Amino acid sequence: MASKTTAKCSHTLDTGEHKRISKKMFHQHNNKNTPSAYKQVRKHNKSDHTCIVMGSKKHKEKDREGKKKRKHRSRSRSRERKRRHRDRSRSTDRDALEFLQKERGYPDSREIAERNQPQDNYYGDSQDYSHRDYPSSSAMEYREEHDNNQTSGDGSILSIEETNRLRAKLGLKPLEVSDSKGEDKSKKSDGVHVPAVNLGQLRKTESLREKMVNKKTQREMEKKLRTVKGLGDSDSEDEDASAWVLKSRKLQQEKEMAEKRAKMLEEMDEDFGIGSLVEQEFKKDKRYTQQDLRGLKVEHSLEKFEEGRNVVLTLKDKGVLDEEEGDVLVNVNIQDDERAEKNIENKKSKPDYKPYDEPEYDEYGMLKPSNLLSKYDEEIEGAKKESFVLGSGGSYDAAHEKRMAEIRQALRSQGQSLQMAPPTLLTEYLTPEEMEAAKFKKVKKKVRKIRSKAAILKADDLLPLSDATSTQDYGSRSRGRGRIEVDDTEESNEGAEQKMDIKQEIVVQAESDSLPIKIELDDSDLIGPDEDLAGVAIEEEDVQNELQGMLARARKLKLKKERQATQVIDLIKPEQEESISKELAVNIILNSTSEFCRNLGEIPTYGLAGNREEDREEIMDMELEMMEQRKKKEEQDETTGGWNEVDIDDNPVDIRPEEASVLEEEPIAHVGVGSALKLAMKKGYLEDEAPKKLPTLSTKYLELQAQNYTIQDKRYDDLDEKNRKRDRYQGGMITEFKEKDSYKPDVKLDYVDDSGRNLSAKEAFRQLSHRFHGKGSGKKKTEKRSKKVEEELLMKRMSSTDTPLNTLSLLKDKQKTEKSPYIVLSGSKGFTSNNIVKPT
Amino acid sequence: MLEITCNDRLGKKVRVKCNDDDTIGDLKKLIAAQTGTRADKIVLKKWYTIFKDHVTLADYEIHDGMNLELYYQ
Repeated sequence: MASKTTAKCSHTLDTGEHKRISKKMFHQHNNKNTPSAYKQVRKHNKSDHTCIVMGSKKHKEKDREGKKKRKHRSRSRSRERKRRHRDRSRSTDRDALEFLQKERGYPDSREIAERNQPQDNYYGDSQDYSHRDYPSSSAMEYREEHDNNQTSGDGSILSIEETNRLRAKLGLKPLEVSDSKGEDKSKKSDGVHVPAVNLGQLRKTESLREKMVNKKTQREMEKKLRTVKGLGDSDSEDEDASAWVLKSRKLQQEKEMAEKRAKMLEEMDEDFGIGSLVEQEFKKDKRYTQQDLRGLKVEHSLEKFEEGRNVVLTLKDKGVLDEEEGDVLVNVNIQDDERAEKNIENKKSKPDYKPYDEPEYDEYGMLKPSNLLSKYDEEIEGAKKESFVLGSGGSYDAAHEKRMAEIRQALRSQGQSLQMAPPTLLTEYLTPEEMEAAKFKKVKKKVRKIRSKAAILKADDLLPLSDATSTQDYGSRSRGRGRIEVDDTEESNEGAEQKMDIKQEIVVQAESDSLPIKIELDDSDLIGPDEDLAGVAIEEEDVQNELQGMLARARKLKLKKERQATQVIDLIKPEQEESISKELAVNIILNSTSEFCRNLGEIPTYGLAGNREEDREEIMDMELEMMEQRKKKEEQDETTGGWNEVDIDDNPVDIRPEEASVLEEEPIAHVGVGSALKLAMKKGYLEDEAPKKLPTLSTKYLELQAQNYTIQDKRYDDLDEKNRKRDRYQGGMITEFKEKDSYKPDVKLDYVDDSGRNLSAKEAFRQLSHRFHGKGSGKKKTEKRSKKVEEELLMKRMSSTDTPLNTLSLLKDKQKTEKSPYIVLSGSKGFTSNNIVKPT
Repeated sequence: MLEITCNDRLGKKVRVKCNDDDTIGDLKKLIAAQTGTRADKIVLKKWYTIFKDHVTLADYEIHDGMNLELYYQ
């Protein structure tokens, strides 16, 4: 193509030359991306071209060739552009190019691209700088494939196919090529403006369509109706008269035929002689007799008919269509009566709701359950009518009815009515019956038959009775009257008596010592003498032994206590004996629970360790003995072998064994005063030298004691922790000063200063504070205070009738001495003010 | 189809053809193919908005001939 153009315009420069020039220009502006540079190039080319043209032609020819030149120019420009396009196909905007091409009348950008390829090859020298700025390997690789299409410049561009290929590799859909530019535009315009729908036209079309539809449906309807006969359209058969005549004739003929047939049959009957028979059958017994009345229903109650009175009954009117079977007989008069009755009933206008109405009974006297809303029964089901059915011979036997009535009566009489008797007024006077009732009845003396029997006692009767008593003893008598059975239970009773004796003995002893020790023995330990021991199996020896042992212990204990008491008495002055003896009057109660409790509190290792004390031993002896016995037994068992018994209860769990071993054993306080004192000594509540300062001193000596009583500053809280703890449980100083209960001193603190004046609280505190800090207030303050005090004193001394300086009294004195009713206050003769002296 | 110019101002400037409904991710791939950088290292920006991969060009209202800033992360 290029060659063509060059051929056409010979006067222009050779294309190759031109190319060279343009290329040069491009080389100059190669790396400049700016459009200004591009423009420059363009301009340059243009000018170049023009100047060449100008150079080649003469000015004179200018006008003549104006047209041609213009043509040339345009052509050359196009060529130029093409060239430019070739040169910088990758740098220019594709779309713009396409647009240009279209203007020129080129068919398609693609075609151009295809065409461009060989052309590019033709200008082989342009390839060398196309590679210049592509550093990456992948891009290079790609470029090797599509070398021809690529130019560098200000940016890299791929053609559409290349991009499509690339997109295919990347998994993208191909580009929407601008082939469909027109469509795109239309699409775009869609969004921009859509012309409004012509409403009028729309309506027209709508109405037209409706008309069409209507027509269609009408046609269809007509089609349907054509097949169906209308009411007005008469049947074609009856239409003509001839047909009707024919029909009627047929009917007549049939009738005639039937008559004929009947005659024939009659004749045949006559022939056979059956006719008379049949007649007889039909005419037989036409009279209506009593027999026919059977099964007829009379619709009246039986009471309406009285004996010996004729009642004419007629058949009741009946509807034609009524299918009710059987005829009903009715008397008009009775019916009228019934109606009247009903009317009267209706007139009464009873209340519909009868909550306390009497219940109805059925014919057998049973309660008839009333339906809910029974008043509507008649309306719903129709009026009930009493009726009876005539029996054979048109009669009705009322005997059954009568019997039923009787039965009903009987049943009703049997029933009890719940109605109370009507209340009657009480009279003030007694009725004779009441008088009768009020009379005292004579109490009949009941004569005891037994006695009378006893009176007539016989020897025969006596013997077996006594036997019975001797053998059958219920125990009550023997128990109640203290009678002792001699034969069986002698020994046990003896034991019981002994026990009683022992008890008494103990009490007596206690009384004599003025130390009553009551020993209570539980039922388990000791059985009372008044208890019936018959049949009670006891190992008497065991019990006795135990008891003896116990009593012995008790006695020992008592002795021990006495000893203790004497010790205490030795310690304390004889004057205090009374109180001490009171103190010592301790009731010791021995029973199973206390024993058990005592056992619990015991130190388990006590008996075994051999560190026991004397008093302890005494108390514990019994238990220990028993234990020893058990041990012996155990030993025996061991020797014999076999099963061993586990010793369960004797040794309670070891609570604080190390304490027991380390510390000195503590005396037990609860045994007696002596031990308590010992304990007190040990704990340091009491001092050895001063046993007189016991808290239990009698009230007599309290005052004496109080004179030289000093409070000892004793701190109980620096006893060590263990001791304190023990105190809490075993009781240290629990005894209270009962004698000082009433002693409530009235304490009043007074503070006095050096001169003996009472100080107020404030002043007292000031004094204290001054003393504490070792310095008082300043001179001025002390002066001020002393002045104040003085004034106060003066004020106190001042009489209410005089001035503070006692001028009045002085005046009076003066008057007395002068014996004048006046005083001269000024002047040489009279007084001077000097004369009035201040009182000291 | 539209063509977008992407320019990091360090010497790379590419014009990429793409569709309206391409995502930015796709665009990045295309750019990567043209420039030879890895797609996941490319950041496309317009002023201060960084374009996200899953959004289409149409949604970002990127039109034909627009200039995007090309950065690398």
